[in-house]
Amino acid sequence: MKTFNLLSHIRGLDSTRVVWLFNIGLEAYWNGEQATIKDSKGDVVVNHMEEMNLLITRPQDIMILRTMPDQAYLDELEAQGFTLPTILTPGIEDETRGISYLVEEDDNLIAQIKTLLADTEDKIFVPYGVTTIEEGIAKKLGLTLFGSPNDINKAINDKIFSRKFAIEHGMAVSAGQIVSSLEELEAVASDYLAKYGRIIIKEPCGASGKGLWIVDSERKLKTTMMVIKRFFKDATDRQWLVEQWCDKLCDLNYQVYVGADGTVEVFSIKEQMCNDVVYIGSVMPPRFSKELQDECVKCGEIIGKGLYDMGYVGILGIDAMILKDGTLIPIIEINGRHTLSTYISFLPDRHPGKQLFSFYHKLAMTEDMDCFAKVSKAVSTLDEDAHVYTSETIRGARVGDAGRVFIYLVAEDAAQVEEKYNKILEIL
Amino acid sequence: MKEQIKQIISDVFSVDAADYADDFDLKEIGLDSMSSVEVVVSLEEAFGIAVDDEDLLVENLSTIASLVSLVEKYQ
Repeated sequence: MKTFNLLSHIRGLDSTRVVWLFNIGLEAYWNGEQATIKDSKGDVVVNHMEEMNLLITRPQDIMILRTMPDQAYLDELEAQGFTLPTILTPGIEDETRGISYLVEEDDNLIAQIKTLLADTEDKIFVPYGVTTIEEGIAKKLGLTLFGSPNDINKAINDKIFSRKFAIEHGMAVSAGQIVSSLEELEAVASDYLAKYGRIIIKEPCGASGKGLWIVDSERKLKTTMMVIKRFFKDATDRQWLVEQWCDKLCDLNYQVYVGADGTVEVFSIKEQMCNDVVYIGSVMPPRFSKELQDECVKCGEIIGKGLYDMGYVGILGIDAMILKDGTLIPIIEINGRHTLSTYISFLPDRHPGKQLFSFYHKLAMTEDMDCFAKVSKAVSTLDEDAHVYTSETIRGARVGDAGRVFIYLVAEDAAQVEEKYNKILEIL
Repeated sequence: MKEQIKQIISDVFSVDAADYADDFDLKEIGLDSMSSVEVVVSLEEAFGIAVDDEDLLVENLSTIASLVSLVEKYQ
């Protein structure tokens, strides 16, 4: 019996029917609430990033989305040659809960999917990441789950695990220390601050910039410690990571596929544009040297094989950085799940020889604003007035009513990307 | 109280908040789920209050006026 290969599927080389689910927000399930303030509007935006999954679906697939996307967005995707799947939505709309809960409780939706797949032999369930909820959904659907068990995923998605893995495998890491109490954290952070001038404190299981504190002064350390004590005063078994803040040439992300048969493939390397720890966009292909890219591939294969031996199957999104002296720090963090970077990984295949820049942009919110229409209008304005783009060179994914769009620019070279990026920012 | 709150905003976001209107949207200077934590702990320390978890919502912290209301609620 052949082993399902997700990359082959995305590349159109496989007829398996995949049921996709974009269940972002796994960290909250694994680790409870983080040291943050609830931002319900922001959470809605994050949940609606699910539409990015449509960049890698195949026509025979089923995509479960919270709500049907804007028709203009679907039309645009089709016009650009993306192959849309059958889209199904849960009967209940609830922006405040993870989509997996809505699917798990929706017997009608489960039955509908089972009926659609009744005559299909090759079928599989591919969520963004796997917790016990997705394990339960797979069971209800009667489908094989593409991924590894919850416990393994939880163990991997931990910044302390990432650091230990890097050290055990002889990979370079920044100066740092794992601490196991608030008192130790305060003392070590103070020492590191005095020594390095700028440090980062990491809560091991934070995601999307949450649980990361950059500290560059005694005042900032005092405030940060107040925050951490405020939220973790009763924590007895918590650990934190204190690291030197490194002067970087650039951030990067590489994606590693780990198949159920042990296949390991580094399938995408991107240069990441970040404002400290906040993601801005991805440059494809990356502008750093072929030697460094080869080193990423080598490290990705070591990581993929090492984690497969632990029982991991699925996609790994690995954040890394290149220091100003050219040293590669191959692991800042291993994400044992899909990341947003996963979904844009195959865009370069559509534009061989071109320079791509994928980025997100926040739009001012108004009640009646249609993000996709606004982006489309910006493009047409550029076409008519600036003659910088054609409509072939921009795709915007509406990600909810809260006003954030993802856009990618296609250009001849890095200079043209910058020129186009600045133009689009002016318009938006 | 309002001046003290503006000073906290100035410190957390490295801005001069002295002239901010009561309804100025603090998201414009970067208020988000992470930075609002700093605002809350600074308010708690400055005014000797303890904000309940149920009130820890970005929308309760997004203007000077809402911060004043929050502090008044717990004083």
